Amino acid sequence: MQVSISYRSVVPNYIWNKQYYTGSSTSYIANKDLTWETTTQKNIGLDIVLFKTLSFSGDFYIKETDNILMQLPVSSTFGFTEDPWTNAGKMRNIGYELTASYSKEVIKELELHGSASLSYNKNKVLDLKGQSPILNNNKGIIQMEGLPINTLYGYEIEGIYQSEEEIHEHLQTFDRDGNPVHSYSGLIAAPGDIRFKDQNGDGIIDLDNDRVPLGNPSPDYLFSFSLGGRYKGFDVTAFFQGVLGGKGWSLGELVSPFFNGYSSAAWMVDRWTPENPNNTYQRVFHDSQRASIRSAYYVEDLSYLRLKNLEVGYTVPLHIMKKIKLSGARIFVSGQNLFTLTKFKGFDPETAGLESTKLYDYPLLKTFTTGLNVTF
Amino acid sequence: MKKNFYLSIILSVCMLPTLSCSDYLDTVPFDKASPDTFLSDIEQARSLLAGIYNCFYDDSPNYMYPYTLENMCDNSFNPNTWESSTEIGKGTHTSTSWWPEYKWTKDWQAISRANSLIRGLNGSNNLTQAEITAITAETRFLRAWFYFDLVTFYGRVPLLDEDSPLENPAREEIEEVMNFAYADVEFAINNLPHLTGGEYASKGSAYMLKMRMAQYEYDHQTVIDCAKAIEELGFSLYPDFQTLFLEDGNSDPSNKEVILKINYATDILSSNMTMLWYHWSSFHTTLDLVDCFFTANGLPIKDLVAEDGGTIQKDYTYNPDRPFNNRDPRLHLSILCPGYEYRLDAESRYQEHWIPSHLGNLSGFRPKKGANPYLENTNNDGNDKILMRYGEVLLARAEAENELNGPANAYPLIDQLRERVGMVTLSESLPGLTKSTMRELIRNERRIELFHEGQRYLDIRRWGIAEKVMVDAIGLDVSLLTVYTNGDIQDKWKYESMVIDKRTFNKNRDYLWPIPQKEINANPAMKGDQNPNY
Repeated sequence: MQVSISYRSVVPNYIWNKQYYTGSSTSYIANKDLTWETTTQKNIGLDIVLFKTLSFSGDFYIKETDNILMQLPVSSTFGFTEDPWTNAGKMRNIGYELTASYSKEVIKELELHGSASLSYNKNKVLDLKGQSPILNNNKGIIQMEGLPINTLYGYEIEGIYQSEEEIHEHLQTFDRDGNPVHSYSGLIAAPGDIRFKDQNGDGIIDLDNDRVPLGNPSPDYLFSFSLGGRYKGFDVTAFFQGVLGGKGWSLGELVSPFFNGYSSAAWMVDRWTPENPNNTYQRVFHDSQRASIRSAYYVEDLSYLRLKNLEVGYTVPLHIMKKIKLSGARIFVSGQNLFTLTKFKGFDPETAGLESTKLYDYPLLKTFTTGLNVTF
Repeated sequence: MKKNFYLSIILSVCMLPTLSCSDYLDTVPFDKASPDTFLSDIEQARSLLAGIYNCFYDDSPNYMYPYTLENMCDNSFNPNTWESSTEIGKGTHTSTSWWPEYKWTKDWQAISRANSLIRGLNGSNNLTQAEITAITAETRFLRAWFYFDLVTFYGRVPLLDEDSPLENPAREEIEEVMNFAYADVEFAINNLPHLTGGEYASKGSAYMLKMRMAQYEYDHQTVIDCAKAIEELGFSLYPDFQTLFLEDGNSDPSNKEVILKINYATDILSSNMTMLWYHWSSFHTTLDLVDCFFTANGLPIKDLVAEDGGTIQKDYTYNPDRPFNNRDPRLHLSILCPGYEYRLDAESRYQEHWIPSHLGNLSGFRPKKGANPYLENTNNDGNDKILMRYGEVLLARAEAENELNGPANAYPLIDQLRERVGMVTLSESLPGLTKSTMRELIRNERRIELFHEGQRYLDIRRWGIAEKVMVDAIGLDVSLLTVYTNGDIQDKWKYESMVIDKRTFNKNRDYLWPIPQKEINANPAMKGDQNPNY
């Protein structure tokens, strides 16, 4: 292996005698064995048109990607400024894509059309060249053979602790000398905290033994459909899209009480207190570490159905056009992102991803447009 | 049809050459070099050395190193949880906490850079022997510095030198790492020149690092020997305690107190020191710390009780209604107290009589040491961060003398610190101290002299008193200090204490930081070898 020295964008300068002295340092190791990713894909498809009005196409694929390029964390003792790239493994995507569309003049001057598409994908990591599993604590994901890539990883939950007694029964709280044990993922549990499942039953909730896969950030199904029609001069089209499946992490301001001093989410009103015990919402606390313990409590479902576009228009009839010496005119009103059905608690499931509730990202806006097309 | 046929022939012919040149797209990067050929002269060696010194800089000014350590001990409280020091002060940090990961990464970056420089120098034919020795000495000092830093924070750590292969290392015993660092420091002492000003590592800084390492191991004689050597080199106290910590002081060529500092420069790189504690509200100094400053008579304001029960009696003339009058001069040079003048030209702030609650302060006090009220732009602060100074040497020597030989030799050392600020000397004010009460006095003197220099966090661990002092943080109730008339106690100006931060300390866990979880995950040799109770 060859070590490369480079002047990186963050040049490691130092000041001597009130002047910048250009510094240099080893950045990371150059991997001489690095090679391109290779993808092998097999598909089979079908396109048919029936009765001149209905068309259908379907495609089934198996896609294997080998030598996936990933940055794998290495020991910090190597002193690298970024994790080195390796050809880390192999994964497989299996899925299908179906589309159908229909267009027919039902009766004179009334035409209907519609289309739909559905795609399904299942991803699985096949081989990690002996490195399995690879944990990324900062993002709360794991790469493990047999699971989808970037699977969410954390504790399962069993409700909320209602009392100190319940905590003492569930976890080791004191050691033989009477000193408190940090058995709650490095912290000490209190009533009102989320109760995590102790997978190995040793009375300690810890990162090494009690975390399990919690979901796949990639949605299982993506679908869209549109409906529309035209009658005399009017036309209407509506376009819906959505996804099903797909999970992301809820973090930060939305779930951690008074995170960085910001106001908390509305459901905190129903939080656990001794006077208002419940088994759904945890108590309010001030230490930031507690809310960064990744568990099923913070996993968000990213499924949604959204009316993406609705447009209504009217084409001015030809005989009126001739009178005002124009060849065509159409007025329309349209709206984008008109409504969304989702369980997602953040701003926008469409722009969300693995870190799904970043409150600094602008959600998609609901917009209304109206216009006039004129042809001369 | 024929046209299509010819077209497809032409297309396939054109594609053939691209299929065969599969390595056409491979290029050689222009900005990288191999270490074997890189070290061609002294300039490039110094460039690599700068890359190691660069590890002293914070990646972002709000990491505030080393001052952030004040918030992790009993001197100060930081309510800004995003600055990641609050949780350590409270004892609610875990193996995934931010600071343990950041320090681990930074220290290892420095050590690996030092190792690769030494490796390059060992094999180099392009530099003279004298040049190689000089650069190696500076590099070995830095390597020892960062290894000692790792040991004091994490305990057992891996040991890698310039010949170690790139493999996942296991944790080594502390003694092995310390012996290795001692060898580096000894080489540095023998081969570094003597310089004042602290701009570069020098013989004095190598002696002081050795002194700190000996202090960590309770090797009192070595501490005394190193302190004597530093004195003989000619280091001495800078007469002006306030200016010492400002740019005018640490750039003063006659300054013989600074032994090592982190260099910054106006218009080039800002240390942001004035901003970090005199502008932002990241440091809420505790009442507990302020109470440590003696009265001008040289007596504490509360009885100071030693471990064996011996007591230094409080000053009966102390007036709690005028608590900050007639105190050790270092109080008002280090800390801003309620009712005193607050000035920050860079933000057009001026309060003749500071009202803490106006600016969001929660304890009634804020640090002032090292802040320049006249600075024009707090983002352009050329003040340097002092890492080592002679004042600390006197305190370390006094501590070691007292432990080894009793109080007598400690008196003149503490007196020097007192004379510098115009405070009554120890010999005059408390002549009859025993070893036990002198120990208490020295610890107190160290706390106030080195306040806000990042030392207290490690001191309470060295003395084994962390679990006693890391209790709930106490400050003044700032809601009772809203209207200053003439300093008299009245309805809206009262000094009452209250708890400002609830803290816990687990003595079986919190003396050390955890090995960061990222390391445990990436390094199989450390699996199952985390610090106890994390």
